[in-house]
Amino acid sequence: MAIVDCSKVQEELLHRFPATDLEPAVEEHLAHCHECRRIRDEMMTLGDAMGSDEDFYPDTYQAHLVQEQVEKAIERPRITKLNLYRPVAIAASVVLIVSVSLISLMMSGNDSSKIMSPMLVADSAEYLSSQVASGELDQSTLEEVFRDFTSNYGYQASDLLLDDISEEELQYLEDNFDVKDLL
Amino acid sequence: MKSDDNTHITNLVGKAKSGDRQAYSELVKLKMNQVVAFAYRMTQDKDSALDLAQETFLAAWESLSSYRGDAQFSTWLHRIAANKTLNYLKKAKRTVSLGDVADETVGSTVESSGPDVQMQREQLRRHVLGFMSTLPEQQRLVFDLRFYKEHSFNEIASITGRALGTVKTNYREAVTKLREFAREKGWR
Ligand SMILES: [Zn+2]
Repeated sequence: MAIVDCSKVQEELLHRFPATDLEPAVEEHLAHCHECRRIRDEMMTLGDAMGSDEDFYPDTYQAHLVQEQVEKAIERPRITKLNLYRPVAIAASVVLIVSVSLISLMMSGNDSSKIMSPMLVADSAEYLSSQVASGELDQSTLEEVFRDFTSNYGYQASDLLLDDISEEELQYLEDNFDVKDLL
Repeated sequence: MKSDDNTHITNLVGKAKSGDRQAYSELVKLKMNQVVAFAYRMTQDKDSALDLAQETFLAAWESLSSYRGDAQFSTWLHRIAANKTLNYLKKAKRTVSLGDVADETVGSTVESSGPDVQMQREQLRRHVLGFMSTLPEQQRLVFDLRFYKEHSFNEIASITGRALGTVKTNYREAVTKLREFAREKGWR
C-alpha cells in the first residue's frame, strides 16, 4: 500500500534517520514528491555531517592507559569485592531513597512526583544517618518509602550504584535493618 | 563477520564470568573505543569520558555475574555506561553549566596544525559535540544510542528503562532539533 501522505513520509524519515534503505512505499512517494525528496536529501547530508562512532574514538595511547588501569584494578581478588559490592549497593540505595523521599517531603509538601534526582541528594546520606541514629526511622517506614520510590521512578535498587556511603553507615544499616528484604 | 564477533564475545563473557581476567581484558580491549566515544559525546569532555569508561568497565566486571546473556553484551554494557554518564552529568550540573564545559574542553582538543583528515575530524567533533550539548540528557542518550550505536528502539527502551513510545518520541525530537541546529549553523 502506497503512503501518499507527505506528513507520514516525513515522520518516517525522522524516525528512520539516518537510514537510507526505506520502505518501497516511501521510496515510491519520494520518486513523485519533490518536497519530501528535498527533506530526504537534507537528512542524508545531515547523517554524513554527524560522522560515525569511530570519529569519537580515543587515540591509542589514551585507550591503552585506561586499559591498564582497568587491568590493574581487576587484579584485586574479585570474590571479596563481589561479596562487598551487593550490600554496599543495597545500603547506598536505601540511604539515597530515603534521603530523596525525606527531602522531597520537606521541600515540596505532598507533590513527590517531580522531585530531584538521586544524585542531587547524594550529599544527604549523612542527614539520613542522623535520622536513623536518632530512631526516627524504622524498618517499616524504610520499606514503605522504598516501594514508593521504586514505583515512582522505576529504579531498581541495584541501579543506584553509588558509593557515597561510609563503612560505618553501611555497618549501621546492616546491623539495624534487614536490607536484603528490600529488594 | 558480525556473528563471528558475537560468538567470540559470548565466549569471552563466559570465561570472564568464571573469573578469567585475561578474557575480561580482551573484552575491555574490544569495547574500549565504543564506550569512550559514547561518554565523550555525552559529556563533551575527553578526560571525563576516559574516567567514565574506566568506571564502566570496573562496574561491569564487578556485576558480571548478574549478566544473564538475555541481552547482547554491548546492550548490557551500554546500560552501565549510560547510568554512569547520567550520574556524572547530574553531578556536573551542580557545579558548572554544561555549556561552559563543552566550550572549554572541545576547544582544547583542536590541534592548530596537522593533516587535513585530523582537522576535518576535529571540526566534525566540534559540530557534533556542540549539537549534543543542546539536547536534554535523555534525548541526547537516546539519540546517541540510536544514531551512533545503532541500537533498536526496543534495546534503547531496555537500556534507558523508558517506554518504547517515549524513546521514539525522544529520537524524533532530537532529529528535529538537529535539522534546526544545522540550519542555524549553516551546515551544508
Ligand atoms: Zn511528500
